[in-house]
Amino acid sequence: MSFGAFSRPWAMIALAFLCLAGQASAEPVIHRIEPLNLTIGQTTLVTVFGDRLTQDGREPILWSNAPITWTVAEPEDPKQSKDNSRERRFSVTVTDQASAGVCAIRLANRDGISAPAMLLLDTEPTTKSLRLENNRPCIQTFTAKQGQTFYCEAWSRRLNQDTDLIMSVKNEAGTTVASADDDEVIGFDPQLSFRAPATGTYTVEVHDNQWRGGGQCCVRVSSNPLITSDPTAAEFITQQTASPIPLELESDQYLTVTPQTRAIGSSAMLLMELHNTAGQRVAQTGTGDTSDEPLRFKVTQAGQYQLHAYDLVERVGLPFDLNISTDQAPFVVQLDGGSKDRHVIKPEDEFKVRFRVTRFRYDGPITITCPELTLKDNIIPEKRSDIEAKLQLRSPASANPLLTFQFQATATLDGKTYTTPVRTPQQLKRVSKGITQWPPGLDGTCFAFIKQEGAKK
Amino acid sequence: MTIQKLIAKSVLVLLIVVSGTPLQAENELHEEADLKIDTIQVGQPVKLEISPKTFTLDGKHQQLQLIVTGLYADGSVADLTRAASYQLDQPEIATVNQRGAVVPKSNGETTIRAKAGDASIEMKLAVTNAESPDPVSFHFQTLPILSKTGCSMGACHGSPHGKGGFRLSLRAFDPSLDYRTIVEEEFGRRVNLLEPQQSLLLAKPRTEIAHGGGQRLRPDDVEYQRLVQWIREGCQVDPEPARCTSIRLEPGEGRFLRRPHHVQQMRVTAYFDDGSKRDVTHLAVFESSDDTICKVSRHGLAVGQRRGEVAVIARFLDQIESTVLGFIDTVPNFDWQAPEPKSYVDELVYQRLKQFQYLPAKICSDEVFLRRVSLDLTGLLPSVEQTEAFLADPSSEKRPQLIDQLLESDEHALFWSQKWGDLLKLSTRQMGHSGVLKFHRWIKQSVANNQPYDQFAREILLASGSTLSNPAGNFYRTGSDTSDITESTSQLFLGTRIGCAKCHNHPYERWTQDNYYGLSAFFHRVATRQTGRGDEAVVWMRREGEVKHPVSGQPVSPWLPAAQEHDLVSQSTDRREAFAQWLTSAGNPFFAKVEVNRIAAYLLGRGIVEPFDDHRDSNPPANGPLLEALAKDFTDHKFDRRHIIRTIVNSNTYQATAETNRYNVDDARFYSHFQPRRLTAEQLLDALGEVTGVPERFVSVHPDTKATQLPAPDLKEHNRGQIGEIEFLKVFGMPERQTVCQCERGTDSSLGQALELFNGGTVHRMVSSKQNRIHRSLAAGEPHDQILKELYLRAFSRAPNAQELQIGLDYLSRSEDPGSALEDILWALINQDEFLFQH
Repeated sequence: MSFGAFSRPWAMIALAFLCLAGQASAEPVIHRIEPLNLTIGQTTLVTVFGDRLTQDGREPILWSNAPITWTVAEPEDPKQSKDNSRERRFSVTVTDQASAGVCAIRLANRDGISAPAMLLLDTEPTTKSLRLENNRPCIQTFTAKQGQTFYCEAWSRRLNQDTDLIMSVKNEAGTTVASADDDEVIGFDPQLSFRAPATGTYTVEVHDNQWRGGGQCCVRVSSNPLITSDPTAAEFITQQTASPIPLELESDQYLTVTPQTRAIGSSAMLLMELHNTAGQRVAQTGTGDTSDEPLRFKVTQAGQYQLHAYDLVERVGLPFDLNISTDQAPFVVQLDGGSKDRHVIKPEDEFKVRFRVTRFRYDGPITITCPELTLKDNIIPEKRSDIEAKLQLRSPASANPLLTFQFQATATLDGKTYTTPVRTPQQLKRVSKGITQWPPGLDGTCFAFIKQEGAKK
Repeated sequence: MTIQKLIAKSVLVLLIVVSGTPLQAENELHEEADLKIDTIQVGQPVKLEISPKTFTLDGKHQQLQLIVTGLYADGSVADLTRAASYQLDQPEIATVNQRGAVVPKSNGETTIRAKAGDASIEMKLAVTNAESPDPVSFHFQTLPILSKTGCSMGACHGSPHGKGGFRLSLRAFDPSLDYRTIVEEEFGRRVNLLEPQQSLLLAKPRTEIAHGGGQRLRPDDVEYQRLVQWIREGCQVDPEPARCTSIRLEPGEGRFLRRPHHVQQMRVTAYFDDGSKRDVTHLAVFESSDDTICKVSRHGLAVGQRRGEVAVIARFLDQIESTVLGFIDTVPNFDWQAPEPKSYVDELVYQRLKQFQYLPAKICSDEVFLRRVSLDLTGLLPSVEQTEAFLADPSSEKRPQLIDQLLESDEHALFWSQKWGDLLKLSTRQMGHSGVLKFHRWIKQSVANNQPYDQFAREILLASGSTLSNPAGNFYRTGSDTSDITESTSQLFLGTRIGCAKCHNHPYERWTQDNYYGLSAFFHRVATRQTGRGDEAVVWMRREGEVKHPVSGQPVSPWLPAAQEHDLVSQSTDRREAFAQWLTSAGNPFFAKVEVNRIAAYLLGRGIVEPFDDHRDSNPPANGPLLEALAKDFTDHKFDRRHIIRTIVNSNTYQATAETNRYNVDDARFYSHFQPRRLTAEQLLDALGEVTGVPERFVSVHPDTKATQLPAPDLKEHNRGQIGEIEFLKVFGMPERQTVCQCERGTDSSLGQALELFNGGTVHRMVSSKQNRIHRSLAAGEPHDQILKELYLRAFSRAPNAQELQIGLDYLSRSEDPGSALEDILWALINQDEFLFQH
């Protein structure tokens, strides 16, 4: 290869791109975690496999949205180098206050902060974390007495694994006595309720739809499901029928109706229609989209409206929750897709973030704020859809170099102030749309790793 | 042109227009001479029948076609219409021409007496309005003539874009459009009111001006004269024409004609919504469903060519009707012999064979049966162990036992799921990888559990919700729009290819455009949408939306054949429920027949109706009573598909040898012997894998999956390097599943297939692999005769005979490299018809 090629302008540009790309990919990356489940109230040794987990031999910081404590643990193999940046081990304790379900962890060091990885917080100590092999099923065995009921659950897609699992339960003779594929509510992770026809040892077999290996899953067998849905416990109105809901609306109000179905364990697919006094449909949403998209409507004429909510495929008796509000902001602000939710900065550094807004019949200015940061150019002007704001730390850095913060978007209209949290870009590409147990505190949280003055790079 | 010539020509034209008879008769005789009609032997009929018994001809342009039938002492019948002589009490009232058509002359009443042999019969005729002005009717004469001469057929001016800038509606489907086109379009240049003969409309089909469609009319044709007259009369259009509501074709079904009585005159009567009826035989278009068995003249004379059954189809305007005629030859020295029938299948097949004088073949050997039934029920060759055990079993019940065992196997469920995969268009292109795998698993479960067919159809047609949790909903992802779904549903479950009726009334079937959109109305509100969760889509019914008729622009209400008003109303807002209810009801005329015919086609190599997804009056079943009986059995057994398979496979008909005898060698229709057929692409690949011991591997499925068990033809997303195997399957006809038509699966032979078998990559790799079965046997020190015996057992399910064994051993002994010699023998075996065909 001749260096002459790089004398050309396009080659220089390409080289510059490569350099930038190399710089951008310096942050730690988590490939795999063993095991994939943590038992609530217990301490588990967790091994993280990935790239650039340490920086100059310094251990990474582990962040989680769940109430956990952690310490760096000795490697399983004592001969392993402490500088091994591709495998780190932690001792993680999940406090008793943790809720069962999915939690997220991230690793941070001076080079950056990783994308989140998902773990299962479980109450059942027998749950197994398994790795899928090509063309072979994963196996979990259990014993049962005749008539005893078990819940068999696979957790994989919900833990951001690229899998589509099938589950079968076999008796000692190898005959399939129960099987499950996709679940209407939770999607690609199978689960089944199993009543043992005879006393004996049973095997739960789990394999990928296409018999692919490489992915991970947790297989849980217990007398109770990990998460029991209780729709009546929700704070919102629970409608068991499709009878219309009367709404008295004032002129210029912004109506937002946010449905919840899968999050409360319901398979309902809501189709919502708003009818005016004359019975004409003035707004509709939910035609087949299972992401619980809200219905939004700006009231131009005061009066009594009727909100109809149906199941898209006309099933009756399925529960759903509706949050009916005239206080929700008529806009959604999120970090632009190109802007990261994580930054490595010095305390005095100014850094930039681009915000993008989706407006619902509101054209006015929107102000972005954050208690931990000083913001410049933080007002999205009237009718504009985005803005690039300049940010700087407001107070001196604390002892913890990893700072988390949230942005708020605010607008005042006709004397009424609307505030909404700013959303962050989706970091979990494999997790299917409509996930039911989305880890709280993940969406909207931004990170800054603060490099202290004089610290060695 | 001189004055004398002009006068002479005028006189000639006048003669033709007024009498019409001499030239007309000459023309007809000339045409029917092409059909090679033998002399009709009248013999001594014991009785004559004439049809109709009474008739009124109203107007001078009307005609009546008589049908005279002779009944003989031996129970046979003969059409004597042209052999009979006719006498009229009042000859001035009408005349009867040589083809038995009555032409009016003047008003009055008369008796027509037909005489043949010593028998005679009478009918009463009245003629009215013979002298009244009777202008040529655009709707009922001009348009039918254009249809009869072929001008408005699909291949000519009736095609969507017409021909040579002249576009007519197909088969005069849209009279007002045709009138505008003929009379007004192109500044009216197509008709010349002053000199009608110079009209482009006539000069072209006369070929006086270059005409791509050739000569369609001659000046002496009565049709030509009518067109001339219509133009001369000023191209009048009927102010308020009556609507033709139906036609009747006579004689009806069940007529069998034994040679030499192998002709039958047909008559078509049209019925109108004003209560009138007319004989339109001379205006109707006739066709035969099989010209090798029977040809039909343009005037409705059906002439048998050889033994067999055909449908004679008559079309007048947009109406179509058909009837079935049977032609029987007397076969010299035919002596009926047949095995004892095992079930109604054999009884009805033998009945038909006896009727047409075909002798059924003998029952096949155990070796042939084992190979045949294994391939049919599981798609796979039997293993050596299975073959040896079956051949050694002395039980007389071993065949039914084997059938039961195969029907219960997982391989059966997978192989028959593949057949449904073809029909339901399972491919990743249509529904994604997950969609295909889940839908395939759903189908397999249905087959394995022997789910009643009505339930299976209902679950598919009424599917809604997520395609992940209800994979049957993927059916609605295979159609691009309502029309696609309507046509697929119709072809799958009604056995009707209704697609033509989308743009015009079906040219070969009763289905009209109104029917098409009436059927579409059931599916118009079905909506699908991707959710973004993997390959998931949601299927649901919209609460509003009507399909609109493309001609009238009006919403079309749901419609079903032979359904009552209340049948069309669903209990819920889902209109599909009414359709599914009607479809799966025991009285549905299509549902059961279509499925039993499909099963029969899979097992017997040919449907009772063939193609098996093309049920129509003009495509009659080879054995109507058998189709009826199977459908009844199916319905009586609550749509149990496995019961029908078991019934057919246990019959002598299925177990007949493929070897023909001198009395059935030309039968390919009535199941007198088994029809050998090439293995399907997937069966062949699996058979090669079994014989060589080098099975093909596929990605995205379990490594043990056979080609006959593949969920879809395009599951190779992760391994582009294995495209070669896909090519092998494609060369041998594996369908891409773009349509619901079984015709997509190739069953023919080609040069590419020969090359694949001679020196293709797949065969070469399997035969020459050092890990294949023969090399492993050699390495294990097995004796050569044992290796050869196993090869034959695997490939043909039989041991080699002494000669075959000796040839093989000799070849091996002459060879320096036994491995290479065995490869040669293996190659030779898999290139034999006995291996490549199911027989």
